[in-house]
Amino acid sequence: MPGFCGRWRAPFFTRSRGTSLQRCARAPEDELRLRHSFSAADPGRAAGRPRPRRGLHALCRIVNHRVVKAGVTPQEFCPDSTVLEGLCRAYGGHIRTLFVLLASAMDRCDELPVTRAVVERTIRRQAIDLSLSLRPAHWDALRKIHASKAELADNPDLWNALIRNLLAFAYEDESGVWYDWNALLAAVPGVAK
Amino acid sequence: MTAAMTPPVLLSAENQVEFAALARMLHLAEGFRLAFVRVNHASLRDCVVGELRARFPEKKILALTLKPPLEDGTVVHGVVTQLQEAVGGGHPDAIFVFGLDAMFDPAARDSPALDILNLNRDYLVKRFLCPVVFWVAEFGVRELMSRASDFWAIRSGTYHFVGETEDARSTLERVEDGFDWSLDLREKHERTEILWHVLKEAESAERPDPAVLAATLYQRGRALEFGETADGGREHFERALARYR
Repeated sequence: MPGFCGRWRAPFFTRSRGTSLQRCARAPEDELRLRHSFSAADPGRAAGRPRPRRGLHALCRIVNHRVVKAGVTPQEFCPDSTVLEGLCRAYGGHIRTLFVLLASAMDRCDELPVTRAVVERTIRRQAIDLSLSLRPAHWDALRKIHASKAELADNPDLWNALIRNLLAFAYEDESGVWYDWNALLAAVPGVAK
Repeated sequence: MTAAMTPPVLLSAENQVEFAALARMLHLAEGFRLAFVRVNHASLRDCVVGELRARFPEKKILALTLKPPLEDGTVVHGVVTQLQEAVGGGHPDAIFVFGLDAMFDPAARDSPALDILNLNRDYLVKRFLCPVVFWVAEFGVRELMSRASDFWAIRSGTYHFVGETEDARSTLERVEDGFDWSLDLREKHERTEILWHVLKEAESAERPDPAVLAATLYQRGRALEFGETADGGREHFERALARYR
């Protein structure tokens, strides 16, 4: 199924008293309903495709919306917009992962704002976690998908396993559907080389 | 940073960051949070748990070691059932769960205990109104991710503690104890996996301890011998010998 269409429950921020970090970290009953076809996974986009600024901005807006609901200003939370954008680019496409990344970043902050160093550490940490289950055959297949931007036609079982385990995604924008590995994988130490 | 989150100095710098993160999660959590702590060494795990208990004396932390399935793989008590029985009518502030990696055989194709856990994930969220922290070895996390991917997807956070030389020594002693042909298959596989990760940690250490490396290689060779691999662990024995020399 191309794109990311559906309703996602992504509890994250809530409005309550406490320190700004506490307010941001509490898991509320709020529900985030999304119907989108974001293409925020910038790394490895097919040649000729426009940069996915619209999707990226939409994701940042979602995060900032939750930040404001928690009683914290986006400036207090993360004054450097490129840091938040980096997080949104890395999350891959599963909205729950974005909130896991944010919660993990805040767990590793002494206080707000969330810094670039914390975000980079968090992304690396989550990328390593994601890669734990990968065998050499998986890496070969994922590299192939990443290079070709096409689905793995010759091995449907492996392809289904990669999709099911959120290791590969289908993306969609105005120019059509393409496939790629989970953008977090690019942050696994040694993979970028 | 509050005193509770100040990491203990006996931990390495990397582990201190993870300790502070875990302590912060426990401090801030209100309601259910699913967390996984990836740690290969029981000694390191006990040390971190002890420190956390000392930092949060006011919190009721319930610790539960899961009973593994029968030798034939039959799941008598599922993970959620065991959690329910342990909690009963109480209201703990956090639940630490050990032994999830003993609930399945890493070499077996099926893992009924994880299948049941995967199906019960929504119930878990509603039933336990506090952080539930699973302390799992690396191979356990790896298998959980692929065998219970929906359960894994509802996690709030993961924390990773890397063992040091003393932890490796202690884990080796534990693995060596009774490690022979008579051991049941699941435990053989579990110990083989643990040895593999201890070896990886020992090799990537800043200053690898040759004695620990040699002992790990030797035990890993024995594990492969049990596993009836093509070279019967020969490569590991040769590498261990080179280290001893």
